[in-house]
This record gives sequence, structure tokens and C-alpha cells, in this order.
Amino acid sequence: MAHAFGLLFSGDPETWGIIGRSLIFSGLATFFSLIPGIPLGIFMAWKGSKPRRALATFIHAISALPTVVIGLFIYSLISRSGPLGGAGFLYAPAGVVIGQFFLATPLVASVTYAGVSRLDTRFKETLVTLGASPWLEFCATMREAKTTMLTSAVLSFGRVIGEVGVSTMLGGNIRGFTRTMTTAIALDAAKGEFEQALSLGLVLLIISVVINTAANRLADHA
Amino acid sequence: MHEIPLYSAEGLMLRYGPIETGWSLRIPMLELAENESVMILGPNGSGKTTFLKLLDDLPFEDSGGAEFSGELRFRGEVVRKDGNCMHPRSLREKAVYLHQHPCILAGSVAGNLSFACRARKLPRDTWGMATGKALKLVGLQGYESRNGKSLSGGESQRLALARALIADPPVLLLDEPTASADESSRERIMEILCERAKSGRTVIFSTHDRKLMRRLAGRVIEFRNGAIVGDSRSCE
Repeated sequence: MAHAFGLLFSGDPETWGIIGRSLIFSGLATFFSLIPGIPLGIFMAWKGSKPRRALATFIHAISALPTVVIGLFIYSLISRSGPLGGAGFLYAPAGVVIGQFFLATPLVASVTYAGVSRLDTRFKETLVTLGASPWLEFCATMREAKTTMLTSAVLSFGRVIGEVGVSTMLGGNIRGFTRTMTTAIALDAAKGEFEQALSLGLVLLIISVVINTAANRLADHA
Repeated sequence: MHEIPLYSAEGLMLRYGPIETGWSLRIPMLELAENESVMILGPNGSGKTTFLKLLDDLPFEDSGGAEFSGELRFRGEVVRKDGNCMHPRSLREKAVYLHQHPCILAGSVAGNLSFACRARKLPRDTWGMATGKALKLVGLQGYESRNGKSLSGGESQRLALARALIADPPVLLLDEPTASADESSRERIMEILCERAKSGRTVIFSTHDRKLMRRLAGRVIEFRNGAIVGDSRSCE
């Protein structure tokens, strides 16, 4: 344990490289997932029509899928024989970010859907009676449910930074290139090298505590 | 020649949920004229709010399982005919509905009014003037930077009224406009509504406020269990 702390506090370049890479990959995936996820969640929540409810059920189901299933699906797209095989995404940082993006987007949409659905019906009626255009309604909803949007971002970041299936399948756990905290922990543990695994585990634990605290505070605010 | 009424309803039936729940609204025939001030009367749950929301073409389908039949027209234009909602643009531009407990949007008081200016497509250079005028009208000058959500019930009601009046709509639909207001707010709201009625705007409102009834009602329509049981004109 002391050695694990030593690795962290001595500024070990490899350990900190892995931590930085994880934060960048997961940060990018979360950021990009907000772009389709939030509008999708608002779209599903706006009108309770049957097709939209069916879409919401589908998105909820996807957000609960195991990461390896998502990884497998993306793998079939970006592997050499897949339709996007020529782009060189497999075993590259882009592959990890794409995989995590598909992991985070349904969660962002689900959380947004749940939050916007809970908004007072008078809110929507007020927008309608004032004559707001769909775009203006969208902007007002974003503003009204901003805590929900932040919560969805925080929870999605928490999901992707702690996943191992997608990162391993699409990133390949290549040292100094696609190795992230979770893939490094899995490898180190398999090799019996627990110091670095423990130090990375500590960082993940801290991130998890920070994320949960942030999510709880945001939920209290909502 | 017969003048086209502001609203006309024929065979209008509305129900939420299964058949056993009964009709929330049953109006065989009704016409509301331009420039009338109409008071909707009735006990709680008699269909007043549903009727006012219907007049504003608000989407009650979102409540789930709503069933509608009959026809509702606004200035001769079909608003709803059986299952078809036409959502006429003219109605959206001319009428505005105010909730009993208004919903104030996130942001400042001025932000709420700017939103209404934008929604009503007022020219950008008139927003400042329109906002100032609306705030002065409801007595909320100096509140521009206050958080809209932090206002009291009466202040919220006045802000919502200012927001509704920002583009000077000819038709006002109000659900218990003085219900959540204190005495001073109530007086101010009543003055504004009376002024609008005098200037030839249509004011259709529900209330239990006897003072407002006496001062504003030109025509009184009474609802009970979703049906109209009385329709009279004030002698005043």
C-alpha cells in the first residue's frame, strides 16, 4: 500500500500518464455524448406519444447493456473488415473515445429524459401559450433543467471512466497509447503487480467519491 | 350579416382516462363574442380550467388517454375537430393563458420578459422598452435583475401577467388570476384587467373573488360537472 502511495506522490510518469489518458478519453467521450444525448432526452420527454415512449424504453435498455456488448458492436464497425475499418480507429485512442461515447450517450439521454419528464406541466404550457418556437422551447428546457444536464454529464463520466470492456476491446490496452486506469488495473492484477494497480484503484476511488458527491449535490439542487 | 364569434364550440366533449371517469367537459353549443369579459364560475373540478386551457389550444393529450370529440373554432378557424388538432397560428398569436399558480421560468425577471418578447417575435430593439413598460404596468419596477423564482406568490402572478401582456394580446384567458395574490397585488391585477376590458380586449377568466366578479364580469358562464348550467349577462 505504501508503495502504491509512493507511485502516486512521486509523480511516476507512467502512472500519471495512464491517469491523464483516462481523464482525457472519458472527458472527450462524455462531452461528445452530451451533443446528441441531451436533445434526444428532451425530444423523448416533450410529448408522451407512443413512438417516443417506445424510443425511451429502447434507450433505457441500451443504457443498461454490459460494456462488452457495446464494445463488440463498435468493434464490428471499426475492425478491419467492418464498414469503418479503413479509418484506423481500432486499437487507437479514437476507438476508445468512440466506444465510450456510445456507452455514455444512452445514459445522458435517459437521465435527461427522466429529469425533463419531471418538469411541471405548467412549464411546457407556459412555453406553448407564449408562442415559443421549438428551438426556443428547447433552449428554455435546457435552462430550466440545467441541473439534470449536469447530473447526466457527471453520471456518464462516472460510467465511462470506470468501464473496462470497451477500452480493452477497442483500445487494446497498448502501453503509453491506449492504456487507461481500468485496463492497466486489470493487466497489473493479472501479472501480480499490485502496487500500480492499487495506486490507480485509489485514484478511481477518489474520482468515484467526487462524482457521487457531485451527483448527490446536483440531485439535491434539482 | 352574422358576425363571426371569437370562439364557437359545437358538440364539444372531452374525457381524460377510461369511460367510467365520465366527461370532463360537455358543451353542446357555445359562442363567445369579441371584446367580451366572460367569467367562468363553478366549484372545484367543474371543468373551468380544462375549458380555459382548451380555449388556448393547450396540449391536454400529454395527460394521457384523453378523448375529444366535437368542434372548436377561433374566429371561424378550426382549432380542434374530433381527433384533429389544427393548432391555428392566429390563436397562438392572439390569445394567452395565465395559470392559477404561474410558472416562472429559470432566470431573472427581465429574462422572463425577454423570453416572452422573443417568443412573440417582437423586434429586438423594442425589448427594453416593452420590458420596462410591462414591469411598470404591474408595479415591479426595479425587479429586473431579481431571480424570478424567488418572487412571492403575488409578485409571481404580476410577473406572469406582465409576461402575458408584453405583446398586448387581444384575448386573455385567466385561471383564478388573483388566487395567489396578496391584497395590493390583487388590486393591481384587477385594475389591469378592468382597464383591458374597457379598452376592448377580450378577458375570459375563472375566479372565486367576489370583488373581481363585480368589477369585471360582463357575462357569467357557470359550470358543474363539466357541463354549462348557467349563462347570463351582468346587468351592470
